[in-house]
Amino acid sequence: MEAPEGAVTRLLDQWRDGSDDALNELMPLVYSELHRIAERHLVNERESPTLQATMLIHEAYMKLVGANVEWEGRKHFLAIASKNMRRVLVDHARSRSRVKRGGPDAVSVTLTNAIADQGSDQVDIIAVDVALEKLAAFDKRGAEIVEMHFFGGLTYDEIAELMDISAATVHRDLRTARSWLYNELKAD
Amino acid sequence: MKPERWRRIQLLFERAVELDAASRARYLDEACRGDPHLRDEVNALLRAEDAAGKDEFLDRAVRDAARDFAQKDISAGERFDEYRLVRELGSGGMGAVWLAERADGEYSALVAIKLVRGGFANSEVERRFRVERQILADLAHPNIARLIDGGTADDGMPYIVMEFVDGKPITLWARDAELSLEQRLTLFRTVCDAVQHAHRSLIVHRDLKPPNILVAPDGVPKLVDFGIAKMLAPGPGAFQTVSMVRPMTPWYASPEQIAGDRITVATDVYALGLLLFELLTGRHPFGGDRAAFLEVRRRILEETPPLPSEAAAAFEGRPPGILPRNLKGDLDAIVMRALQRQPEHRYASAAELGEDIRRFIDGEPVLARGPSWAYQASRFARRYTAPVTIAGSAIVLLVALATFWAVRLVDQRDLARSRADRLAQAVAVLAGHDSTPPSQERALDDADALLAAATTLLDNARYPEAEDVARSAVATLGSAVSPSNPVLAHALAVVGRALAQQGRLDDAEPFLVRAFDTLSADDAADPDLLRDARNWLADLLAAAGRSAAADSVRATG
Repeated sequence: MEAPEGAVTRLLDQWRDGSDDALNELMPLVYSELHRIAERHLVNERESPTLQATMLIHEAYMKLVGANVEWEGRKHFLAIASKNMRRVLVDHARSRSRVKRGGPDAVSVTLTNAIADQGSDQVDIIAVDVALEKLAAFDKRGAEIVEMHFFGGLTYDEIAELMDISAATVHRDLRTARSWLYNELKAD
Repeated sequence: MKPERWRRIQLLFERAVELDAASRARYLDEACRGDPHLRDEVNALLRAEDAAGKDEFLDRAVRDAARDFAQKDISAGERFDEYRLVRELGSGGMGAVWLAERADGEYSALVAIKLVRGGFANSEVERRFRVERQILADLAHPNIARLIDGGTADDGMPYIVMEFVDGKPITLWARDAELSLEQRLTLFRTVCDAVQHAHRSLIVHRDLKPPNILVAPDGVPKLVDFGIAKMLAPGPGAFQTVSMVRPMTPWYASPEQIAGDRITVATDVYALGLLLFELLTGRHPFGGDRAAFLEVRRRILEETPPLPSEAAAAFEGRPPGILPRNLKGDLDAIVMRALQRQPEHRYASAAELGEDIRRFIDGEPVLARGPSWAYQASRFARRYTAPVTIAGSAIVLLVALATFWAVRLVDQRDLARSRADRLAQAVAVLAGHDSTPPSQERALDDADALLAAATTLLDNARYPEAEDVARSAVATLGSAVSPSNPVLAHALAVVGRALAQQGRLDDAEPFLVRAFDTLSADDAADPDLLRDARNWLADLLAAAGRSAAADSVRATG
């Protein structure tokens, strides 16, 4: 059986050469690796309040691709990883909220000891996901830039190179997309 | 939206965002001629631009989600010390709340355990958490849910054990029980009393709102989460990281909380005003609609709330037992006084607010309608600076006289005591009514004089009097200086010492711990004050039989 790093490098190359099948194979690999790493941090990083999504992605990259892949490969990996990071986090949040709402005591929660709404400062990742979908319907590029920057930790320059646009355009798109998302989320 | 339209909006935004306000309006007038909707959309983006950049909401969303992912699922049956988790009551950004029972079968008490997500950022936060916990644990009142215990689980997650209150939010209770106007007011007074009790111990709730004021099936209201907001983000750092603790939906935030200004007892008075408004009208003064974050902020900071009588008249969902004309006048005035945007224009305390409600119920004239003493005084002060300063010194003089009588006339002990008592009362009344914000210098001057008196009383073994006068010093400083102010720490130390000398060791400890912590963290602290605070804390620990702790405190010297 092929070592995972070899497989991922090969798939990345194929995807770059235009193979959508390669991408379809690549996605679940990256997804499960990110998931696995995130779960492991559950044990080790408990005391650290910030578990950086970017750190996870970097670790997944080192694991799946290895250090010796040229930038071309790396940036494509980062694009895929951003998408998967979003999925990992949103899937997890969805499964949690299902568990919570499903319980027999779901109704009485609000009536008993409603201390938990303390943390209303939290921005719900599921709401972000839904809003990003909406945005993508009329601004696909803006939504992708948001995804890469915030979920994947890519810099403007990296995004610019990856999308073959100028860094100034990345900045402009991000700015309007972010303001739109802000209004969308705060209206809820 | 069509991609083309979005592209158009983007272009207009990019141009407009570079312009100043006046040219921006002109530009948009021109560019959006005939399409006001387009203009609205561009404007909405422009308004959000600044906040969206500063708020870092997307960074937070991803970071919080990643942290959530890392958080182990907690399940029923797990144990925290002697408690076993029964079921989750709810969860939110800061963590989760579980119903739990005693696992050791000692007695069957139900508690609520609050699990704090993410652990402590550093050991300083953890230390403050402990100090706060101790202070809150000392807060005993029948209408305040007791903080029972707290600690850190094996894996470093902090938790707080609280009395479990099986009740409904007060506004729902009032609705479902179809309370009359008078019943609502009586219930509200009880809440004011409980808040005042906590304020006397220098604890501000900071997050008073209907879900935190629960009414049990027997009709007794209980406040939950007292001081918890501060405990979870304690210390001066709490103000720097204000975006973390500032609620996202700020319906129950005061103007000073939204502006990131200092939080005092007046913050709770404002929240009580909101609650009273809701109890009287059935709705929130700034509308219960799903307005956007920025809009709510703006309304709280800029708009004057409607009069309750008018709001109730215009609202079909108002409580059936309430007639708008019964709110007109006195109750309108009381609510508006509590909801003043400037903290110093509100009631000076929860007790004053509760007292005005009592006056209304008993048919006496309410203070809120008369010319506001504080307001008049502040206007007076602006016109006649000199006489008012003298009035300020009068407090100091009274204290000096009280001390004199209390200490010198030892052979007329009883007479001296009664005079000292009366003067102490006069001081307390003056300090309590002087709700114009004292300048920091004046507060410090007054506190110095009070502390000199308190120390003299302490040296003469006049412990209860020393305690009273030192508490006045604390109250004087409370709303004028930062929590880490060394004079405040000194005042807390004297209160603690005076309590300890009266044998009230448990009451004394939080004061001395807080004083010692503040002074020992302050490099510029007066070494004499630090030495006193250290020795007094060590004495207390030794007296409580905790000699190892006493030694380790002494060893810091």
